[in-house]
Amino acid sequence: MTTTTSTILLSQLKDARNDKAWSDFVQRYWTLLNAFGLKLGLGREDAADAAQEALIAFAEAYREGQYDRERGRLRHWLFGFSRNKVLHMLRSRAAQHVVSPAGSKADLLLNVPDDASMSELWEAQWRQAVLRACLDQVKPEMSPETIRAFELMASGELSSEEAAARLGMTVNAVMKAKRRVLARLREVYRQMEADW
Amino acid sequence: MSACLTEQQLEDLAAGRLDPNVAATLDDHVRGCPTCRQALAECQENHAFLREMGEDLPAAARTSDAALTVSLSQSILRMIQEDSSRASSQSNRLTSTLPPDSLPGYTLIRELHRGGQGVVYEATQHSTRRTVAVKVLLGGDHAGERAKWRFEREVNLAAALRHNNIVVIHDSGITQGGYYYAMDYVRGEPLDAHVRRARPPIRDLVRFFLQVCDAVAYAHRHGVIHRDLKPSNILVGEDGKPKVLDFGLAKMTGDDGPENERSLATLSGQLMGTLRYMSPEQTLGKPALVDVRTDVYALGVIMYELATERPPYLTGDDLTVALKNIRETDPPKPSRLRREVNSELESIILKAMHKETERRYQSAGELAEDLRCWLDGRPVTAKSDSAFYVLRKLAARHYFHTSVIAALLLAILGFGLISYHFWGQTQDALTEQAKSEASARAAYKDMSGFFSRAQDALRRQAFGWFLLEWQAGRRERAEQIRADVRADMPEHAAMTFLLDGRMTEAQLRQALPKESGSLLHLAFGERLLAKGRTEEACREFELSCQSPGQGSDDYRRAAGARLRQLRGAPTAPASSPVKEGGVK
Repeated sequence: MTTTTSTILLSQLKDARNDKAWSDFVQRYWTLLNAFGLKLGLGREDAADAAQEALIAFAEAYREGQYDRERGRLRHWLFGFSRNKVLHMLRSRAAQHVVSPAGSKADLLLNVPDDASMSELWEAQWRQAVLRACLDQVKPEMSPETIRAFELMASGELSSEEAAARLGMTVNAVMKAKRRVLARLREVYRQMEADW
Repeated sequence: MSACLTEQQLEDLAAGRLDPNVAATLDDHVRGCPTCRQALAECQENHAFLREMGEDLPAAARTSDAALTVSLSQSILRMIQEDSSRASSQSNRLTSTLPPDSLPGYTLIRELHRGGQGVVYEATQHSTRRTVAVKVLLGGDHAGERAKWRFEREVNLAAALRHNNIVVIHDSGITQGGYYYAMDYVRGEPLDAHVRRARPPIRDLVRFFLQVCDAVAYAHRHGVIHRDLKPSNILVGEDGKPKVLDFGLAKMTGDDGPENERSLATLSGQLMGTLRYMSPEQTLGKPALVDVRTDVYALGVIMYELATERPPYLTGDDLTVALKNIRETDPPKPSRLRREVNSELESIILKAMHKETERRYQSAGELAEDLRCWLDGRPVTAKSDSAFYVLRKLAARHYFHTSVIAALLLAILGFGLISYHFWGQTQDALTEQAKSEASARAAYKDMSGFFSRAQDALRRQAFGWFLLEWQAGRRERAEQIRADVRADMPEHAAMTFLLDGRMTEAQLRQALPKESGSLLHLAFGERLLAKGRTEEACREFELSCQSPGQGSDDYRRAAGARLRQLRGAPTAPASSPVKEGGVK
């Protein structure tokens, strides 16, 4: 399984009847946009709404030919949409809390990070999303136990001893699994990061 | 040669965590062992990669395997059309391997249908030996407890429905492939295919469709909304009876909570799903707006299609266009597409699929009742949208053009005439009318300025009307006029001041812009006059007459007229500001 590059994905979106392309597009970016909103302090529903609105805004702008690949990467473009939608949502939430002058309105807005921090947060979410896509690509190449061992350890949930005990493997086997998956993941990440 | 390094030793060596002496010994081995050398290089690069990724890798690893990723993708896929070409390899993965005995109590016989939502099998139920249809939904194997609970609740609700035109659900559960539920096996064809083949006369078609409406109305009365009514969810059995499938379950997913379902369902629905039967409120992605009237809308679209044999709008080409059509475009009148559809039936169909939920039938029962009236030749409640409504909608849709036209008419005709009646100054008004006509003609060269002046005239005119109603004690009508004036306009504030005695003069003064002195004092004067404080009122009217400010001539004239009325002596309204400065 190879992950489609965003260049190909975007070119497929030009065909309005290509539902599969839309499906892939939404699958790829929804989690990222949702996580971004959550990290910025939106509630679950609001984060989902903001993600949804950002994707729809992107879809409409894209269909209108506003996105020019030459002028910027998709990552930055989506960031703009998502940032605006999240800020809008935060503002409207703040506006609904005007009853308490010293209360949540100020809190909500004061807690919004500045542009640099938002951009940093976005980059982190983007990296995580790319890493998840890499993992999806690597998974079919390895045995389920190897992947499971990697995930348990890489996620920081369990130590190598605990993971070994849970999976009925030796500590050495668990650590080897982690090394192998990580090496492959690294390789895939280097290929994928530029055009995901 | 010493033994190869353990993974722990490799990691420690790569991370530089070992005592130098131990490290040196291990290094000796590594130099002579290609396997360990390669493994160590890998560990070192991994180590650098982990540092580079920081917390992102643990975060990615935590969510990659969780139900999240799988159920997200499956939820989305499930929403895509029941078109097997669109169902991706993920749905194939689910069901291609289900063995005949994989559901306890059933033997799966054959696959009937495969779609984005799941797969339907013909099966035999062991306990009753009867043939049933079993639908296995995607995503159930990864569902959390909450989702399972919700699935069971929905199935229980749906299973309680007992209606001749609703497919009965007998059983449900969760198996390795996902959620499943067993229902009556209907041998038949989808509704649209049936109607295309049978081509019944319009009255028979309505009689037939009425059964579907009754079924939906019955479900609504039992608190179950379908949310995904479309011809493929309505089967016509061999007995010729329509049967509605998947009540309350059409949007069932295997996600971890309602939030996921809500957002994903709407999102993927908006972007990719069958837009044809989706209501305007569904395309807005606001699930809170979805209620029984959403089913009414879908019934309207289905009826439209059955009657005319064509969809009401194009929804297949471009997403943006499709969404716009659903939200804004009025469908062609059915009577133009099929002569048998008379104006009353047309009104019923169009009312059912009205874009505004408030203007639709408020339940499937109301729709059914109107269809019965039509069949029986009794008066129907559905009426075509009035000319006024249509004009209003047109105006809203083509705001700029309508505004310009309205401004033209208003300035040329209305301005002078209404001023004439309102201010009671026949001679002055005629002059003013001539002036305003001249002014309008001149302003025509500068459309934007003209437009704005006409809007101002409209507001002043509204204030005039308001004063008449207010002075006559017709408070309700005065309030209606106020409601028509934008809240950020000075006239709105002045009207509020007069209607609401709690608003102080200081508050009004603060609310009005500096150049609205004439209006301010006019309002002060009117309130004082209403309280019988005539002298003070006169002083305010004088101040109004003397206040500068462009576009306040009408108010200055009104104040002047008041003074004449109260004092019985002519007081010329100031046609130009007497003194410079702001509101006193």
